[in-house]
Amino acid sequence: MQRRDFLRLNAIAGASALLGPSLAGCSQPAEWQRLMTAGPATIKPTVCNMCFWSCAGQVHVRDGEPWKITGHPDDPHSMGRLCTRGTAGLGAYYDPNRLIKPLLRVNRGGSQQFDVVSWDDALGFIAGRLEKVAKEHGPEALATLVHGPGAEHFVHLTKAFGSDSISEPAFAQCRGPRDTGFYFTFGEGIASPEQTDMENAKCVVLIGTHLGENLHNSQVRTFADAIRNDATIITVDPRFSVAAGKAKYWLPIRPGTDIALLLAWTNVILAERLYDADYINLNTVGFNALAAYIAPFTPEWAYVETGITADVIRQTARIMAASAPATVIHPGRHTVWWGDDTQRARAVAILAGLLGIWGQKGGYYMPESVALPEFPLPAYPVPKKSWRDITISKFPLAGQGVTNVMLDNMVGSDAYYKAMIVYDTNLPMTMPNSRATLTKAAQALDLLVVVDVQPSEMTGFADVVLPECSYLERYDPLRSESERDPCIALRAPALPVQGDSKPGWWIAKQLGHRLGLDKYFPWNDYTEVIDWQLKQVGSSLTEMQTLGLKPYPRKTPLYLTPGAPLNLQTPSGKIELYSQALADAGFDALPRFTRHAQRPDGFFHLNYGRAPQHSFSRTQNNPVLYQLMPENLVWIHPDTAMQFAIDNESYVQLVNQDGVVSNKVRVRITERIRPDSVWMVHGFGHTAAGLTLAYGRGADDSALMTRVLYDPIMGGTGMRGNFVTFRKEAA
Amino acid sequence: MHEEVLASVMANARVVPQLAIWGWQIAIYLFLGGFTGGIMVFSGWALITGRDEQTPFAVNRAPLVGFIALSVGMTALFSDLERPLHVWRFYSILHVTSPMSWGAWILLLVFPAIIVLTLAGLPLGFPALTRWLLNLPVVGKPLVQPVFKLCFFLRRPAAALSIGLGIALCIYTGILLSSFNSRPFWHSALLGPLFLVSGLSTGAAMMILGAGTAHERHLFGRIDLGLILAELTLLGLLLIDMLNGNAMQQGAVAYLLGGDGAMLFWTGFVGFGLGLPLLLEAAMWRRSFMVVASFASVLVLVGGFLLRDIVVTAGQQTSWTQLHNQFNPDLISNLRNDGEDPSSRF
Amino acid sequence: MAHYVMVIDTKTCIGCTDCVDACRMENNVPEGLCFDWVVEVTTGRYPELKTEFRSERCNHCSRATCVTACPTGASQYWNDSNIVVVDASRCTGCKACIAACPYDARLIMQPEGYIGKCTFCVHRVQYGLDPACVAVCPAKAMHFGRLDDPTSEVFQLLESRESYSLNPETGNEPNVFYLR
Repeated sequence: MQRRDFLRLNAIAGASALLGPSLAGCSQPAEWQRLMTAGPATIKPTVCNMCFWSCAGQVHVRDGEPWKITGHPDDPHSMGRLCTRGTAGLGAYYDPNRLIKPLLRVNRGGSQQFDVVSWDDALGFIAGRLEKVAKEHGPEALATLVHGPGAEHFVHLTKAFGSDSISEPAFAQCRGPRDTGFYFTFGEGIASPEQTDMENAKCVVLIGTHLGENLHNSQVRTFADAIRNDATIITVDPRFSVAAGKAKYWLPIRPGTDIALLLAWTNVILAERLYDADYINLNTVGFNALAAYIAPFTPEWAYVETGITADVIRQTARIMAASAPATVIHPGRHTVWWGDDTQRARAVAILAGLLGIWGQKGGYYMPESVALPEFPLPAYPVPKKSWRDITISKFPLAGQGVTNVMLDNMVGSDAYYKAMIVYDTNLPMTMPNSRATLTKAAQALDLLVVVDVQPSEMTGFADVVLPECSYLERYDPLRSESERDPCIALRAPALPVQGDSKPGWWIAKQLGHRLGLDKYFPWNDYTEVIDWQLKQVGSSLTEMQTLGLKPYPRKTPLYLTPGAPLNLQTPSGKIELYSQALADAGFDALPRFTRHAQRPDGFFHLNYGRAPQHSFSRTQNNPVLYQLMPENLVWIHPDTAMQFAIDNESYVQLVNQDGVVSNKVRVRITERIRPDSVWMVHGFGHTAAGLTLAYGRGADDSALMTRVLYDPIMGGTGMRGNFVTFRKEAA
Repeated sequence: MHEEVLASVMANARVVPQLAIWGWQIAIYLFLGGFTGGIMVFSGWALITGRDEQTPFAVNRAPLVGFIALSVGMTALFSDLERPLHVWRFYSILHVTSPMSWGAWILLLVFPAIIVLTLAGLPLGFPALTRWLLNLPVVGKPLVQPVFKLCFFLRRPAAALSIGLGIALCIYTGILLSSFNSRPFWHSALLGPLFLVSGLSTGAAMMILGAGTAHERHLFGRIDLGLILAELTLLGLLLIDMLNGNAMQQGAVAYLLGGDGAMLFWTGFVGFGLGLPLLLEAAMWRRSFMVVASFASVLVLVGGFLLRDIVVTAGQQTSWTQLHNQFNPDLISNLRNDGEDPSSRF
Repeated sequence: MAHYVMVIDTKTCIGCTDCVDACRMENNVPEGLCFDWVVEVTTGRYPELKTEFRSERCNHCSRATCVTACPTGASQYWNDSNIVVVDASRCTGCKACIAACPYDARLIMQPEGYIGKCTFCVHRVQYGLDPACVAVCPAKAMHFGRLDDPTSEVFQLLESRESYSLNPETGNEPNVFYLR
């Protein structure tokens, strides 16, 4: 839906005359002719929210009409170039399905429905229920599941209320294993944006990471730099991804055997002494243990497991080592695959450690953020109970709240949690196999609040739905991330607020007020917080409203001095090739390869990933992006298609190993996929009828993930252990 | 293996057939244009050669039929314009490289010629209509009568002009299409001659249908027989040209010879539009029968339209681009709220 | 004559379709239609494969048949350059130019009825800016400039790298080039 077309087309639908459009258009110039003479547009700063990459952008408004959004030219995330989704940001603003009124679930004559209510009623209802929960069960019985930059408002509210049970699917459904694995090796997780110095790399290794389809802006830009610089790209993927198409070596690995490959690479590097012995002596612990452990895991051994020939394993390992330290071993992002993911991340980190790329040019650079002081507030109350109480017994080394553990503790009359706030995350399509648990939780909880911009699947579970305005209409916390070039970016309202929707900060403050937490919100408008913070770092809200983004000089070096000790935050201060901490907690100190479940006859690995046009399950209803990708496809190898007599472009249903049947999905027969696998883009197959464009388009992979493989170390929900077969649509 | 798909969704004409460039309106226009051209050639010929007695229909009545047909054809063309109110723009310039521009100007010359012939033949051809026109209040005597006289006076020069313009009109309808290098099936110099012969053939068929005398019917029957033979020859040459052409031309001709257009082409056009009338006319070489000759003529007219329709459609079957959507382009219509029932999506 | 060309590096193009998106927003392209599009070509057999993406659009041909076929002169070159534009006020919507375009790059604007197409963002070019698609490309795979200027980036790229254009055999002399 175009800005002007939206009105235009409706007007024409009303006027039936055939000549209407011609008469109207007769004397008008073409759009380009209008643009030739158009005056300058006004520009307002924003920070994109179409995905979590949070690129700084500029909203162009001309003659009072929103025109387009472009990237901020000085932004290290976007360099003036927003991605496909960011460019389509106005679609989110104009989406006719947006939530614009608070909704309250009512029981009327045995049937439940949502009533449109006033903000006062909605907030009053929530405050009443929360106070009741706090009185009967303590404030710790509130859990808050969040995502995105606006989450901070509700994290703050939850802590002020007296609970620390805050979690985001970004941990247990995404980056958790990676960060945990790196934490136990390097003493810290990987930053976002990932500190991969691809523009200076001579070799880039992508293990399941599909940069290209994965359109994280600066990642893709620097990956393109690497291609331009003729860096050797090594892509490990069961699918011929875009990145595989750019690679010198594509390793079409048997799904689930990545650890075997990583061990074999390590084996080659140790066996052929392709490492810098001085660096190893100075900066690592456990080398001898590793060397003894790794000996049997030869490329020949790995070939049997992975299907990658020993020659290719050796060649690629040698290139990585020859290019080191200008070798990026990409740590990945969505890493919850087979339940042994922390160990796989450890294997990646060990390889990175051996190659000495930490803090080195062309490897991992050292990110830095602007030290932005917190707005002065009273200390939060100390909770009597914590998320740890229910988590550590299950997943001893979980570094933060685990969404799935929290959700499980919402079911039943004696559940740990009695209330939940969900902000900007669509749990049914984010957490695998979660719909049944969510339904039970919704029954058991005294209160379930969902704050969202659109009527997502999650809103269907809510007692109260609070409509947040889109990112283009609100202030949010300043963007100040750890990255290559420190900077601060401002998200400010660029467009008038639609309907009765409200910014997250307003909602949180209003709830705080009704809960007697005014001392935690000692300001009238969130701009006071932003302005105060900016003044601490030599800027101001007024300045930032003009600048949008302000770069700050680095205070620490981008790269560490070669040959100097690393001084990591691990217990040893060194790279822990052998992890005593893991051993102490009863886990493998060195990563172990386990064979995963074999696919049943006639079934195929269900692999999934991203598309450059969409983020998670949040953008399928965006009318601009819908025009680029209205549905997802299931990729099938020609042999498989022949075996099942499936036609290209026909619609099939997928049936998983437990008999769960998907919605119909269009078939793409392509050589770009392993014959033992299928692939689809995540986020489609919406079941929320309020999303009128996205509803029922394509199939939902997460609904087919009934077999969840939990990572025993940190609680990640491994999603790759599912298999599907095909059911042809009745024509 | 070669897989070529669109990574974005394209709902342009090449991908979504309902957005096709030209449809039945243009086929009607091309048919009626050729038909009128044929009538003009034969009426002009009959007039110049003084066949007023032998071919009364061709001389007196046929020009009115041609005038009406061309008007209907122009209406079809007009209705195909996306901006019909801009039609006057055709006459703001003669764009020498554009056949369509030439066509627009040819039409501007054709109309006066055919109107002169029509009015010149009206008193003998349609006496009742003439009387009614002459008795029109106010304009009848002072205006209509002199116009009739003037047209009768001008009829021989107009006839000579008509032969030239008729041929130009027939050929133009073919050249319009054959000038498009981008549509390989159209891009053949044979299309002009083919449309010329077909236009003449349909013109002759009209003469048979309306023939005022048995002689006239027999004469045009024989003429049409020759034209149908010529048309078959040219069609054969065109097919040979295409079969030996590039991949796009071969693809388009395959659509006619064995593809979705084969039924209409073989049975409709070649069988009923050319073959059957050819046999019937040949059988009537010595003596013409009104019912049979009329039937054959109707078949020729239908065949004439089918030829245009088939050529217009076949030309749009293949092009230099081969864009193929991986996503279902029909889903885009859902944006405009003219999609299917949402409950059917599950 | 100003000779504008677009040079697209298939080596770095990732097929993200951002160019299509940016064009839609910049030029207010009617819904469901597009002035540019992305083609994905895969050749070979698993596992020996090659995939190439091509961002395609009007080629702004130096010998544009859409310009010669237009009966009213609405389809024309802009300002003594090879940029082909359509003057809506002169366009009758006869579609001769659509039939004449070998690249199927033209379409009927809804609901006005004039013929729309990629303009190389001539409203930006007049100020020396890149077209919106070039300016947005996250992989920096797209380049725009004047081929009649030997110092330009596009000239240098076409000099130093192997390139091709689409269907040059049409004789239209297309001006969008793809680097291998």
